Amino acid sequence: MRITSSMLLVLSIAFVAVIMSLLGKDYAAVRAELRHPLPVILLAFFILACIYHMKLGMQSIIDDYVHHAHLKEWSLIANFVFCLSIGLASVYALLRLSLA
Amino acid sequence: MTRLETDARGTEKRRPLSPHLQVYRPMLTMAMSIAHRITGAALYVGMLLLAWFLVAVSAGRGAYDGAAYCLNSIPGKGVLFAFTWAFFHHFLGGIRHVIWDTGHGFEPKEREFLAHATLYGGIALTAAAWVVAYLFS
Repeated sequence: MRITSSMLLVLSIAFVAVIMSLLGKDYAAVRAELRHPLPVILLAFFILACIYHMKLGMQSIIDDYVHHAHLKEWSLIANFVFCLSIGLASVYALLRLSLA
Repeated sequence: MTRLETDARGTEKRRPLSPHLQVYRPMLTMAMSIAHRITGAALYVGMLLLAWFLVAVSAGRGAYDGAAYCLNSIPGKGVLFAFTWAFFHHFLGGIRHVIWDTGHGFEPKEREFLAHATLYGGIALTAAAWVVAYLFS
């Protein structure tokens, strides 16, 4: 958790910068921007750090509030699947954009 | 204060238990701690927005127009505004935790200052981001 949160302090600033660079642009310009390697790599790095951070954070929330053993087990699985899905969908989209 | 608990595999897990909230005077530092967890959970769900946006951009103009229409609508802007605030609040809360990890900032005055800085800093950064967004679009 501490490793990802320290990484995210830096990557969040990069994320904000990338989003700012997309503001007010039309579809073609957004696509063009997301073909450059730098914003795509920064976004991918940010999202990967995010989903790991999300998984760990939700895990401690589940550990604190879900006490029923089976429910806890399923919650942890759902947490893992949710974070993995977000990561896969985002990285897939980024690759598709940058390699198009 | 810990309580023994075992998970489905029978492994012991020691988790800190919350102190009795009833004996606590409501304090800003406590509210900020709760807010950090709530904004974290909100951002967890909110990451769907970013994934959705990226997939829509990559899928083509039709999907992008649909996503842009939703996000530019009044409810969409409301959700984005809430996401922005949760993001900056959680970001500053994270800085607070990193400061605490170095062993600093535990004095009562420092804790109060960090709580205020997180609260007002989050609001200020959110406002600044939206002002910039309006200037650029």
